Amino acid sequence: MDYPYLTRKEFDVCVELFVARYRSALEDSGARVEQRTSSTGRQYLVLQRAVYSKQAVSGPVHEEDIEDDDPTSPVFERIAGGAHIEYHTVYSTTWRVPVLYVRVVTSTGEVVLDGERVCDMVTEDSAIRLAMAAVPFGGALGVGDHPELGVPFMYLHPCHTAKLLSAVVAPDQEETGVSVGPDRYLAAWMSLSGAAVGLSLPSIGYY
Amino acid sequence: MDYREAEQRAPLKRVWKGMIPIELQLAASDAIELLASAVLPEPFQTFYMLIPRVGYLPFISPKIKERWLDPMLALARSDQEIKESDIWFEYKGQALKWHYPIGLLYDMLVTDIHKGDAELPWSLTLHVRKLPTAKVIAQPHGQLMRDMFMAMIKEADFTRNGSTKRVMDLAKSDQMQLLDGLESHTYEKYFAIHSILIPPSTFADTRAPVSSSSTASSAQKNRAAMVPKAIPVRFYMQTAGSLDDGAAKDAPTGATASTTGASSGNTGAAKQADITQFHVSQVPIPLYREGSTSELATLADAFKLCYGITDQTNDAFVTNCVCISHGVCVPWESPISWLAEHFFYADCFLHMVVISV
Repeated sequence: MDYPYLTRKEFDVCVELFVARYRSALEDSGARVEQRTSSTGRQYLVLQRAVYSKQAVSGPVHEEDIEDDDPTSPVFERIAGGAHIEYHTVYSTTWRVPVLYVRVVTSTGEVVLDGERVCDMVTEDSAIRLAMAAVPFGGALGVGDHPELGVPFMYLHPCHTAKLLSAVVAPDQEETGVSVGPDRYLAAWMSLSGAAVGLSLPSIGYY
Repeated sequence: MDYREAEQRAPLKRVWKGMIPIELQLAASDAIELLASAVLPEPFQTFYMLIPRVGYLPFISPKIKERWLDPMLALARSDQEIKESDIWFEYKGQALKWHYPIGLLYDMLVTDIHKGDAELPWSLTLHVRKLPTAKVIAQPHGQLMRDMFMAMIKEADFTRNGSTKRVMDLAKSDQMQLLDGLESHTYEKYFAIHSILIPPSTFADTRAPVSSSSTASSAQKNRAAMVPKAIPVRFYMQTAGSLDDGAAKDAPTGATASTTGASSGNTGAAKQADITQFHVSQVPIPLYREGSTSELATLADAFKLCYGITDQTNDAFVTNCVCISHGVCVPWESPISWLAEHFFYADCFLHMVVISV
């Protein structure tokens, strides 16, 4: 593997291994996991879960905590439930790494493609939000057509992915005892990219 | 500029100057909401405009609003408001993807271009309400268009050079000039900055292979350093079925025909193209054929690379399909290097529409 870059075949292998490793834990945590293939045989991975309120992450939500009764406010929307968020992991032939495509669909079927609104719902760390907003040409979350579905999605600009993967996860086994093979590649990638958009992996055993 | 450079730039200038005349009518439902009548006051019933093929619809909307919609509302003393980001376009029932170059949309959706019999002016319906957000990216305003355009420029830079350094190193004023040149469709403004991103004549002789015996070795080294790693190319292939959410089953008609030898899908009279039926594929295309340093890769080679056609003798798609770009049928044997120099769109990509004939 030409780490951190992947060929499409290597990406397919990474997806298979990732799903084998994480599917039960993800499904136990309430996420849906789906491997999809487009009409030209190109594979991509879909993770879907309900949008939880940020307050609910740290504890149960009490009705009296909701101060505004504006039914269109993000808080109200989250509590009302029915909204779900989709994370699509799609291989990019240009950047030769996976790219994360995201969209939020509310309970009324409205597709939310507003970076700020989505980050409001799912990005907990304010430092991350600031860093994302500081990326040139509109921030780290772009809008574009999903490469396989051809419909609008948000996506995390992939130009820094390779650098991040190289810097954070050492590929040299001898030096640090940590290596990233196809079995851990997607988990590593998701840990780096996911925090920006509320995607976190459940912990699983090492074996 | 000497005559050689002028001659070399000639196709590029023609591409840049390509225009499409459009004929706009306001959607009846919007007319009723804005003016309490489905019939617009004279002379606002139809609006004509020449728009650049290499341009984008969100950059045209402000002019349409200024010259047509605002005066119309004023005449009718309507107190309704229209924002530029509310404006979207429809062609024969289909919402146009405003982030696609205008010329690309025309080449995809208008039939019989390759027969020289295409619809002109291009008759579109303008909407100012209820943008279909599931199909079309919401809020088509200028800043979002600029951001999306720069994302494409970055991707093109990465494909050509292996990094986005050239784009990211552009001075703010140069970035602004590039965008300004694009929005105002001014050749000189745009190309002054484009030449920084992609220095002209990086590929010295785009018609014949580079001779190994020509020139001093240092000049050769310089040329090699400026030769792009790969060219960003997107194919838009018309398919028989529609791409459904996770349920796409139909293979592209061209590729099907090429692999089975049997023709399927559109034959005879041209069916109205559906924008959702186009399969978009993108692969960085090297300048030379695999394993060669002298054989230039052709458009046909690029197509095979993109669609994973490994059988080098499988050329059925060459007979069954045409490739259209900038309103021109591009021969399948065209070298990618020549196309990369002369036939790119403003975002530095080659956008190639493939339809069955």
